Amino acid sequence: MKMAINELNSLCRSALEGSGWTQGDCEDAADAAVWLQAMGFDGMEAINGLLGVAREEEYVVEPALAGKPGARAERKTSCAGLAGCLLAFELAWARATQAGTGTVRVSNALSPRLALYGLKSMCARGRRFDLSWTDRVGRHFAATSGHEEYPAYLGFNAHARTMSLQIVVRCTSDAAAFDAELAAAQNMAGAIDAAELDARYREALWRGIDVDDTHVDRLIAWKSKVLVPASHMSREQGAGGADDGF
Amino acid sequence: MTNDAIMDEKQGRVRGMGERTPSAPLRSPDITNRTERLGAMHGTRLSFVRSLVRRMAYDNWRVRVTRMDLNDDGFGVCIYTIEAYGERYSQVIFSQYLDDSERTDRVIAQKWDITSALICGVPSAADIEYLRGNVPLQEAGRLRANDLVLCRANKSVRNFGYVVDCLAAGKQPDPAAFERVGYLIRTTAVYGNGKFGIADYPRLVDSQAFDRGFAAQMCAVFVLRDFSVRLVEHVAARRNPRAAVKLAHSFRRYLGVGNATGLGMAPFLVRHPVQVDQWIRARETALARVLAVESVDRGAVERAMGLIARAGRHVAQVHTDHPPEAARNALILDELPRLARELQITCEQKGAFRWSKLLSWATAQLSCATQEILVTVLIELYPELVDSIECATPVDDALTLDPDMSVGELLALVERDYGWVMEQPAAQRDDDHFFWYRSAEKEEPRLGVRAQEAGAELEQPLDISRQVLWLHTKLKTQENDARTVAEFVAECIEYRALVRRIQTLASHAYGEIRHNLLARDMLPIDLMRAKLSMFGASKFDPKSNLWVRVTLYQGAPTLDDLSPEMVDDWAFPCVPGGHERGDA
Repeated sequence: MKMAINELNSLCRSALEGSGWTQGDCEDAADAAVWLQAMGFDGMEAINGLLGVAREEEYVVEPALAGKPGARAERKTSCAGLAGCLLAFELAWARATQAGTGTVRVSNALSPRLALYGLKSMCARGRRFDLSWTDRVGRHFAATSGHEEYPAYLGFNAHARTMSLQIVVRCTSDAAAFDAELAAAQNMAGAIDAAELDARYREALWRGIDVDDTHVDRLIAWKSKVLVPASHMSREQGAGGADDGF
Repeated sequence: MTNDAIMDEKQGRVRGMGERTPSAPLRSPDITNRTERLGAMHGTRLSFVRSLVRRMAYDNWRVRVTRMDLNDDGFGVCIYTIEAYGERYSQVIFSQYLDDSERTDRVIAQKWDITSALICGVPSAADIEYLRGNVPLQEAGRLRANDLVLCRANKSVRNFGYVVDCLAAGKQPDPAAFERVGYLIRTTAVYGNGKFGIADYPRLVDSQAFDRGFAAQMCAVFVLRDFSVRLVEHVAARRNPRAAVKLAHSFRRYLGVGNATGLGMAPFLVRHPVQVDQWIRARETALARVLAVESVDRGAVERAMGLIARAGRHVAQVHTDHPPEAARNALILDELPRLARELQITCEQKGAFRWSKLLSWATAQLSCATQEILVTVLIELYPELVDSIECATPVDDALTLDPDMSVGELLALVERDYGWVMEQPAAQRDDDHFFWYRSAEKEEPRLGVRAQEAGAELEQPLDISRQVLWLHTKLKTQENDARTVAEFVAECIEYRALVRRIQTLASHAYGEIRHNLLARDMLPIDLMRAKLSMFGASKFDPKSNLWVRVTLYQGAPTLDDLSPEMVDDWAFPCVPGGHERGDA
């Protein structure tokens, strides 16, 4: 069925609430899933990866070069929330402020492609970000200069397909010092540039987003978990509207 | 930087403002954003309906009926075409029979007298058939990305039938009938922004007619208002073609569209703090410009006296069975003559008279409710200073985390901007009497009493005050003040949403409602009134603490009145005499 962006977003957010995600994560993941769906990255599969699952993402903020501020070693940390959407980028940003470059690796990522939305959120904030994530299709690459509306999806390397779901985010506050390790992947396919992503967004805005009924039904089922069953008391004392005979 | 400093710095930079307009200091959010003050607000000339009607008139919008297929009972379809700025829209209205037993304004209703959609372009026959199959179903139907607004309305059983009877008998209604109920129909929902498949708001950003927030919804209600009069005249004329008369123009102008508003507006205000900041800041900016007027002429004083008198008549015509509202109106009626007297005395004293002097006096001597009437009056006096302030331009209301801020800086920010949380009396601060939730019954927003009702574990996070307290306590226990906020929220994920809210609102001082929204003394109608005032509603008639009846467009120009020469002066509408003859 065709759905409006805000309509689908609201449904996704409620479904995530129903699955127990905290506020902040719910909004981010819903925004991400809907944006990915509009961009043709199967956002509904991405959100399915978050519904009714154990939170087992772990992240590590990699130490910067020795002698740099913030060059302390970090341990791998379990995340009670969603690391692989915006949080990884925020951590990378903070480390880059201290050390010039910040790299965050997320392992056991629940839905790695959500990170592409995290990258999109950083697009206009003035810093270069590079992103890669792995899934059963392969290893994907994307980047932004920090001065754009959309990131560039550089494509994926099918030879790197893996069952290990991992996200690597790198933020560089000093572009000159950037080591282009992440962007230097080979044999990539399926690149999508910013102009195409913008066109896809406008298409979604003007025509709506296609969503399978089965996905909608699943989201509704999760959403229903945050709805409080009606009672006589709630209807009589808690509801806003009533009739006054005028 | 303090809130006051932020406000001073921002004063010249609100979008739509001229840089050189003199301005007094803005009132503090500690004044404006308290629920008592929000619950006393009135519409101003910046309100959305006022701003929209000005644009319709001054920019030569062309709004006309292009199809009206109604039977003798007024059931059928009516289509309006709206042309503005080279854009064309249509409003398709379905009127149907509704048994009295099925007529309810509750969200849980499934059938309505009137249903309507505002759409892009001109509908084809196929479009009309599609809309006919879906619009009357409202939430149970599906709209398309070309459709902008979905709404419905019920007739005022008392007024509609009475007015038909009068007009059919060739006479005008008794004005007293409109004092109690100043409308023929009342909307029970006006949906936009993606609901049920209709267009998302960002799509309208490219529209010159509807790029402002809620402009499309407000336009749909304006068209429904016109339709309500055409409908009542149509039914009267079919009933008695020889003798029926049209409704007197003064009545057509006075009658608005009723609206019943429930709890749904309260969560909106909490979830869209940047918009709330935009709305209140615009209003306060307008007030500050008026307060900076150095030379108040006699004409302005006389206009103010006239508006104060009109406000008194308006308030006297508000009928409410809600004891606190009735008491507040009585207090206003007691205080307005004092305000008028003070204005007379002060402006006759030697030396330059400034409005700030009168407002200072009112702040010290009068209730909050009367002060807010004075605010509306003052803003009304100087269109040339305030009409350029646009308070509904598209705004990016994303809440963004500043990862670099240190935990120590965040603590200082919380203590600076949320002092109102920490300074509450302990009993108020810790009061979690209510919880907000969504009911399984059509997802209606509801309010529960924690100690008495099930469902608190599913409460919606509207408890900003309580969350801030918890965050403050957590921050005080952090050993490393230099640690970044990014690290803090990664570890304490439950605070991430709140932290980015606090950080974002550091530059949006009017964004937060300064009250514990779980406390026993919290009145949801105060929150609703704030938003409805921004819309431009009048005649606030709370039916309980949880919902309120208001009227939109009461006193507004009619479609026929729209022209570049229109006089935009309809604050505090009052019932007219209706003595002019209605043409047959």
